[in-house]
Amino acid sequence: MYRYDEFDHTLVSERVSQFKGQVARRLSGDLTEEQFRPLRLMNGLYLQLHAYMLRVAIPYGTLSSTQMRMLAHIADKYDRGYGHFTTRQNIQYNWPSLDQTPNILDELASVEMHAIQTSGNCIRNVTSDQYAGVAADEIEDPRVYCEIIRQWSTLHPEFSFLPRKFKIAVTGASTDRAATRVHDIGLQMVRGSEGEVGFKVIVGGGLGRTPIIGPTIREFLPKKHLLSYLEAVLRVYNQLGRRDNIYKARIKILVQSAGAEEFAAQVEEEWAHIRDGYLQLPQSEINRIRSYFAPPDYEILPAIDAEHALKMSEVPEFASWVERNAVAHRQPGYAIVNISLKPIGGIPGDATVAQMEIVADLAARYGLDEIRVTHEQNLVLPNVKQAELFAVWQKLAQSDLATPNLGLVSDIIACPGLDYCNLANARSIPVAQNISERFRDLERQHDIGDLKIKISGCINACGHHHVGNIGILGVDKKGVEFYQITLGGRADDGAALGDIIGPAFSYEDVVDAVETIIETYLAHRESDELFNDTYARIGPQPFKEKLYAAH
Amino acid sequence: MPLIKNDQLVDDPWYVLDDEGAASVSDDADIVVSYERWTKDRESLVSRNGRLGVKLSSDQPPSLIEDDLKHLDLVAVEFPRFTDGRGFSYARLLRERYGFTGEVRAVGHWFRDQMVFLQRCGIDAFEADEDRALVEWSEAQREISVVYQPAADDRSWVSRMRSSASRTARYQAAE
Amino acid sequence: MTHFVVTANRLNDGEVLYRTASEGWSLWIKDSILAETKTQAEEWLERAEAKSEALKIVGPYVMKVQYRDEKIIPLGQREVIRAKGPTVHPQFQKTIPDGSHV
Ligand code: SF4
Repeated sequence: MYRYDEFDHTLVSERVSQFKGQVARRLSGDLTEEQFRPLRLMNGLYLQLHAYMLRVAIPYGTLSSTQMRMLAHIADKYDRGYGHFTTRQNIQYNWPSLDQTPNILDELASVEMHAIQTSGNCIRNVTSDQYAGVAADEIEDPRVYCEIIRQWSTLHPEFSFLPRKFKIAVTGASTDRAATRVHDIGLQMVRGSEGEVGFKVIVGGGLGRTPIIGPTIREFLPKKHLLSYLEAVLRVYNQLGRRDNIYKARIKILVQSAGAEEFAAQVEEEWAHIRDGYLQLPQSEINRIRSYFAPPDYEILPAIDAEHALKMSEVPEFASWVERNAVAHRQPGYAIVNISLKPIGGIPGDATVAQMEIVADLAARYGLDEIRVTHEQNLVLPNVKQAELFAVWQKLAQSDLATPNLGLVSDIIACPGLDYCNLANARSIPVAQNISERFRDLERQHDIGDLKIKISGCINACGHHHVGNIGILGVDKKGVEFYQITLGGRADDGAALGDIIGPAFSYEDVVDAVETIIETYLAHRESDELFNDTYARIGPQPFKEKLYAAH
Repeated sequence: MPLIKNDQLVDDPWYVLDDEGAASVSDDADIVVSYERWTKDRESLVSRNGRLGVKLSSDQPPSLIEDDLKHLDLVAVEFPRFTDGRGFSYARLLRERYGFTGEVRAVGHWFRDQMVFLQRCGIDAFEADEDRALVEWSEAQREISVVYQPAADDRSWVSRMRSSASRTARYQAAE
Repeated sequence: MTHFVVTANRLNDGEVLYRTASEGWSLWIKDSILAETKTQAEEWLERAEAKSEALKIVGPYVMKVQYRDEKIIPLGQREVIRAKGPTVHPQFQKTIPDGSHV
């Protein structure tokens, strides 16, 4: 994992002192709310419906056990005993007070964490593949470049007041687990003609009001030019992105209106001026950062551990958890463990103090001290010995963390919605809970198979509903909650946006509607066809008939 | 309006000319005109004795005056709202792309906590309407001592300092 | 009948507040002063936007309520949730000091 050096430490602690001063100036009346608002937002502090919300960055989703323990400590001491992991690999606290926030940031700084640029119209926390560094299909560990981008973008003097927020995702694997096609910039590590590694650059994807699958504007970017190219993209956007209409201010609108080719040409033109300048990445700096992400000292182990195989045959619950939630590791004898934060009827992405502590303990004891946060709001222990899976499973099960539902209907992504969020139209969490309860029977879930349900409480799409196989969007009709359903979206390699299936459903009816959709799918499914394949084959009509027949 | 320049509060020696007015300004006065006025009265403006500045509004990129910079001693970059960050790019382009060495002034709306960013982008004069501005300026400058990226200022950024630190370390080790 | 109420969030902890008859703030909607017209409520809002109030509150605005059987009922799901707390955490529902729920 990356470790701060003196420079990183200095910056983060100076930033905390700066914020302390800003909070003091607000509380004493020196700053008006209007002046203070952008400052608190740049430190991740929002005002929600009932309280402030602090969003803490988990850069590229990687945590140590010490950091996880600190997240638990903060939830305990400054909040109400839990935290919420989000689709952007952040954690949100829902109840901090303004005067305590600088203390929280102080505590975070002590474990090399911060809340810098988790909000505001700046370059946000860079996200990545949750299996980075351990995935079998990886060209290179993308976190090296995430960290390089994190540093370059931190307090960037030119790009802190962009037309709108700016999100970058990087993946190093051939399977896109970082949803790079729906980011402002998506970087996919690829091999060039000589076998050298670089990036495919996708710009102007995104969800929200105008969902767009981002176009590729450069097929291959050599590594050493990473930052100068990003700077060129951002400089074009900062000057030309729309500032007259908040709904048209994201880079995707600029790319669409200029056309991807013309936009790429503008970037190339700007880039030509700066590509050989100071931003060129020296190999020494790449190497320096890469050394932090060097693979841990794995033991040489047999591919199949005999004891583990025995437990698999003896304990069916364990076996079904392994089959669902554990993933092949590239190192023989190790596994990647997914920890579901989606217990049946639970709040997607929430973890209590005790749960965070358990995960921290397990990472320290069995997981080479690493934890990942996924954009699907689960946690990962990326380095667990096969022989120790059983012990890990037992401990997880005691804390309601071993639901074997990864990728199933109850593994729902849901944003905070109207229970907390100031921008929401409708609640998301209880809809997720009700769906999860409806499909409580795990056998039924396994019958249905892989199926992604994603719920957003408004068009901002924090719950990624456009790219859910079944997407649910909360809308407001005269103060009453309704839910619009989309079908056929996906976020991975064949990224696609779902189609709206018809008129919205009431809060009371939406779970029935989801069940109807799933029953229709099962009725038409051929062999082990996935939901999207059936949908592509039979089209929306059969679903519409069932959904709206009674009305 | 007073100015913050070179860490001091000074009287603004420049006279801002609106698009019509002209007659009353002496030929020796230093004047700032809009970009529109500059394009219209270019010839007569260049033939004056006093120094000349052009103010760019936030939708006027400095490429518009690239070839005129040799006639100018000042470019004022406008921030119509503090959230409108185009001027940050304009300032950097003026300094880094076009090598402009005259004054680059921020006018309009920005707040204390943006001053260091503005300065890093090449702004070297700020209109300040309060006595407190100088105190704020010196506080703001001291708050963050580390920068992660090169910009239009002469501060050394972290990755460069790291590599020079490691070069020094290697050098010392070699001794 | 539809009435209007001035609401805001408390500066330090963000708690939902309602403007009272004595030009103070209460945590409970039952204490809020009712305006019969929007114009009236907007007058009150202006006073709530005064500089001195900015040391206590954030983001005041006017919201609609129903006044029925001597109860003040917020209109729209958003205001219901603001008045009561998140629906998904029964333990965080707002309780009036006598122990009853809002
Ligand atoms: S999608 Fe809307 S409701 Fe949900 S968290 Fe984002 S802004 Fe809030």
